Amino acid sequence: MYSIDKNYDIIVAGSGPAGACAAMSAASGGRRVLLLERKPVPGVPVRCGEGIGHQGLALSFEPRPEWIKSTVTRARMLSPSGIGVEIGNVGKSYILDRERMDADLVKMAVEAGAEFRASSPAVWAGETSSGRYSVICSNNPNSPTEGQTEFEASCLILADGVESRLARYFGWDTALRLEDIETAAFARVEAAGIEGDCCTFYTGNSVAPGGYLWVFPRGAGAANVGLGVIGSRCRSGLPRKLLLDFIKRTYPGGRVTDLHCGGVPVAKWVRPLVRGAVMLVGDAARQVNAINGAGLAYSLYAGRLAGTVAAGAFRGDGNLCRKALLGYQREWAKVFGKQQERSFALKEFIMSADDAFLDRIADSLSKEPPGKLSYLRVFMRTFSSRPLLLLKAFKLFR
Amino acid sequence: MTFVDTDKCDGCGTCVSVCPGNALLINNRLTVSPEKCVSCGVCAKVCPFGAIVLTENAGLTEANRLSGSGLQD
Repeated sequence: MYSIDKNYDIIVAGSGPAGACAAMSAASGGRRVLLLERKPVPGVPVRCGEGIGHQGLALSFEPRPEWIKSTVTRARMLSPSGIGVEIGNVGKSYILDRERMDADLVKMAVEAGAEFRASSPAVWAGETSSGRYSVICSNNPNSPTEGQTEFEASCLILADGVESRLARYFGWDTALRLEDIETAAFARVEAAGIEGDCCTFYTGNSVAPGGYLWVFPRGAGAANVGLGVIGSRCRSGLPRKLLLDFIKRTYPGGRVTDLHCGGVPVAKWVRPLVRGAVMLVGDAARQVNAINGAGLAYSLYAGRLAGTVAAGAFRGDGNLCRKALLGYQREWAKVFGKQQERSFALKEFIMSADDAFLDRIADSLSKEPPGKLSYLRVFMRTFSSRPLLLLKAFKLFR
Repeated sequence: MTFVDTDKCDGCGTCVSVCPGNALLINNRLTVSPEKCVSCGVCAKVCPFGAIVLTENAGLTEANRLSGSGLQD
C-alpha cells in the first residue's frame, strides 16, 4: 500500500524538543504543519542527562513544576585520583522529567494545530519537480520499504537528532568526525546515599575517556547516572561497560532501573542552517554546547525560532518566500552562534588535558571556599594554570 | 560487511551519525544498506552497547537487509 498526502505547508521531521517547538511555532503562525516521529511515543526512551539551568529553560518556556524532578543548588567535581571540589554557586538548575516535558511539548504543538504522527520513521526526503519537498515514511517497523506513505510540503524542518540523516539528501555532509561525538550511556539508579540537591561530576581516563560522568539527582535516593566517551577513544561497547562498572563500584546494592545509550554531538553548528526551503534545528544542526554536551536550551530556542521564521515566510497568497527563511540563521548566529563556536574551540583544549593536569587543578581548587566557586571560576582557573591555553582562549573570546 | 546484533541494539543512532556513506538507517532497529556500506567500521567503534560487528562475508540476516529498491538516493 502506498499513499500520498500533499496537504501541508511545513513538515517537521522529529518530535524531540527542537522539532516539537518548531511545529508549535509554525502551527501558531497559521500554517498547516505535519510533525513526524519515528518512535511510538515521543521522548521515550530518554537519552539525556536531563540537567538544565533555569535561564536556559526560562528563555523559551516558563518552567512547569511537573517538568522538574529536582532543583539543584550545588555541584561537586571529582578529579581522576578522587580530589573533590565543592562548587557552592551553580545558579539555579533543574533535573527535568524529559519524558513528561517532551510529551507536553508535542501536546502543545498539537494544540497549536499541528498534525502529529507517531511510529512514522522518515526514510527518505527530497525535492519534487514542482519545487516542493517530499518525505517518505515507512509504516512497517520491520521493513523500511513496505507500507510507505509520502508527504509533501513547501518547507521542511529537519529535527532528526544526532543522526542528522535526512540533511544528507539535501547536500549537507552531517557525518560527524570521531572527535566531534560523545558516545554515551545513560542509567537510572536507585541507591541510598544519593543527595537530592547536588550534581556530581567524575573525570578521568578510567571513568570516561575524553568525556565525563555525571550523577544528576532525581530527588534523594535516585539519580540519572551517565557518561560520555569521545568517539575517537571509544571502542565497541565501552560506554555501557564503563557505566555499569562505575555503578557497581560506587553504589553497591544500588538498582539500575533503565539503561539506554545515545550519541551527543560536540561539533560546530552546521552552516548553512538553511538550504532552499530546508532548515536544520537542534542536535541535527549540532546546536550543542561542545564543552558539556548540553543542547536542550539551544534546541528549544532554535526550534521556536525556526518555526516562527518558517511560518512568517509564507506570503498572503500562501506561497513561500525562501529568502525570508535565512532570517533563522541570522538570528541564531547573533544570539547563540558565537557562544556555541567558542564552546567548540574550548573543547579542543579540554580534550588535551590529562589525568595529572586535572588532579593538579582539583587540588588547588579544593582549597578555595565552596561558596565562592562557580562553574565559571573553575573554568577560568583551569585556563589560568595553563598560560598557553589562556592566551588561546583570549583569542577566542576577542 | 556490517552485522547488527539486534538484541543488543538500542536504536540510538550514534552509528548513523558517524557513518560516512549514509548506509545506516534506524527503522525499528538498525538496518544496513549493503551496497552503500564500505566496511569502514566507525559504526562499530562508536556503538555504546557493542551491538555492531564487522564480518568477513555478508553476515547479514534477512531482517537486517535492505532491499535497496525502496531507498532512493
